[in-house]
Amino acid sequence: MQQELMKVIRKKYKCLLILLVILFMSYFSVPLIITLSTVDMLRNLTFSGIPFIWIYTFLQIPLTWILGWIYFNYTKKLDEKVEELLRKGES
Amino acid sequence: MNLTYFLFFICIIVCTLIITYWAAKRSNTTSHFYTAAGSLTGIQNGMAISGDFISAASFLGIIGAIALHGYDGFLYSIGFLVSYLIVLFLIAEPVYHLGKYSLGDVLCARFPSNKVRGVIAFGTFIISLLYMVPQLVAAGLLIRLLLDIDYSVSVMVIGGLMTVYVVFGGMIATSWVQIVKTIVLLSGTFLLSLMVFSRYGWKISALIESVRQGTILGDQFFLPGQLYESPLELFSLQLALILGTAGLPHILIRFFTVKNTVEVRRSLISAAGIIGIFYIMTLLLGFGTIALIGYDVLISADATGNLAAPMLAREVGGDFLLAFISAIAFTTIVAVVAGLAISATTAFSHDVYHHIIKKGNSSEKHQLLAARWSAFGIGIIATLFALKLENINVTFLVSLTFLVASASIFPVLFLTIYWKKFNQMGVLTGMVSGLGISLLLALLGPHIMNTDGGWINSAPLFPLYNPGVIAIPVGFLGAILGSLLYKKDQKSVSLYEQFQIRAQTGIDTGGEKS
Repeated sequence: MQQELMKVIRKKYKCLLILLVILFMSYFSVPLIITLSTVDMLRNLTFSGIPFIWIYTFLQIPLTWILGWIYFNYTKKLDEKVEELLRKGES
Repeated sequence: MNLTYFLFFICIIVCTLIITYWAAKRSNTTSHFYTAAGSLTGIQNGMAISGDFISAASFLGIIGAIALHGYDGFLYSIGFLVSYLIVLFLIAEPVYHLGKYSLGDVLCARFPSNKVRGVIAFGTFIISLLYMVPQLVAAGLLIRLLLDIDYSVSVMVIGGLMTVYVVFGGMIATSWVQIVKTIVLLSGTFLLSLMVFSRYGWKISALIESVRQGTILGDQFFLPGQLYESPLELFSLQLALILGTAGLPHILIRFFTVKNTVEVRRSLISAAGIIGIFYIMTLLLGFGTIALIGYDVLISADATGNLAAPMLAREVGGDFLLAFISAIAFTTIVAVVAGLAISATTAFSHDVYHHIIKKGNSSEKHQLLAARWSAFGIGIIATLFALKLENINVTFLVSLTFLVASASIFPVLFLTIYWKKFNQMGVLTGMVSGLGISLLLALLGPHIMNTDGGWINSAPLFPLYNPGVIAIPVGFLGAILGSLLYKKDQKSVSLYEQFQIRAQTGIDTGGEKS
């Protein structure tokens, strides 16, 4: 059963890796954009009068919720697999 | 003294003492005292985590920072929020599966040793104290300002309350005080946000136009660079913020208060939801402050901007709303310090007294007694520090807490869970190097060494205000080098696969679920 459980754990790690890459890329892209942009670029790039950098930074909030929700639902499925393995092991 | 303010404060104190009395009757075992016997639901724990996390620095500080510095103040809050994903993805479930009451339990699940337990208990104690002192100082200043009570009396009142909650009510009282705080805080900020927004006919464009007129920064208010001019400084702060929460013991021990892994995840999803909504409201309140109060009035009342929320409340709702918002700020602080006090208490009474001094052989009754005395002692120590450090820079100590947590406890926890070759020596060297470098760089940095009113009147030897970019890699490097240079401990390497299964699923080698 140990090998079967390790397979489930590896699946979880794969999912984690993808989520972490998205998280770090989006989060650290904020200071990167700020560093690489000129003041004029930051001032002039607007959507409906609101500076782009504000919108981009604000989007980190829903992104946090979405990534958390994806992880929550994905791990529920993994939990079911673990339960199934446990039941098989018992029988 | 204003009677309205006084009544609100009394009301909060009475309510929290009733909760403590109710909790005290239930805190008669160590399991109840340390973890509320795992009786909370995920949503309740998520509310308690939010209550534990949203400190005076968040409530008063972020609103003030947005009002004074615009975009850069908002960026601060994003780091706090996103850090919850790191906890959810990497740390929460293993901590829940491996530990019982403390972070010492978690590390000793892989490296059973008094040295490991001792060093983690020490780190927990330092971090809790570093965070508790600025909260108490902020509370003392707030009460002095609003009720015109002497600073020392204010600190003793709040320190005394914190001690009473933890000594008598343990984790049950602490959790419910935090849950009530979250409800009151969200309600208060929501009400204030509605009142601000209604002033501008519910039009964001009208509010933004008013912000432009209220700030001295003009259009610069909406651009980065008002608070952090150097990109390295900005990156360094972002790094410490995102990794710091995953090393805060008072947040991590909250996972022991629920009954299974799904509830652990639900706790964090709820906490991220609540904290996100809260920060959206602080954005609105920061804008409202600068639009309705104006930069000059705000800065003349308090140069740090920490009075932004109370001043805004008075502007839109008069003395009554000011009293309400101030009572919320007070509740915010007591809930946070109670959480910190129980974290430090657990480290001392469970790790040091029960496991190290008594070698795990003390009775339930003695453990409980030790826990209550530890809580009492920690309450006194924190209060004494706060009394002596009235003039300390509150923001500096809060950022130092995140720095120490992200450079010491986070690397050690992360490597324990995810690195096969990590060993006991790595834990010790990682903790010592992370703690040491954080404190050293803070000491040599411009917060302390400063020709303009610093504790040490000299040019700083280290240029960054936020040394996370150096301290965090040093913490990791210390842990990795310690493990690679000391390879005698091979048992934990060979058992790593079993440990990994236990950490990620809660199933031990015998096939039982813990």
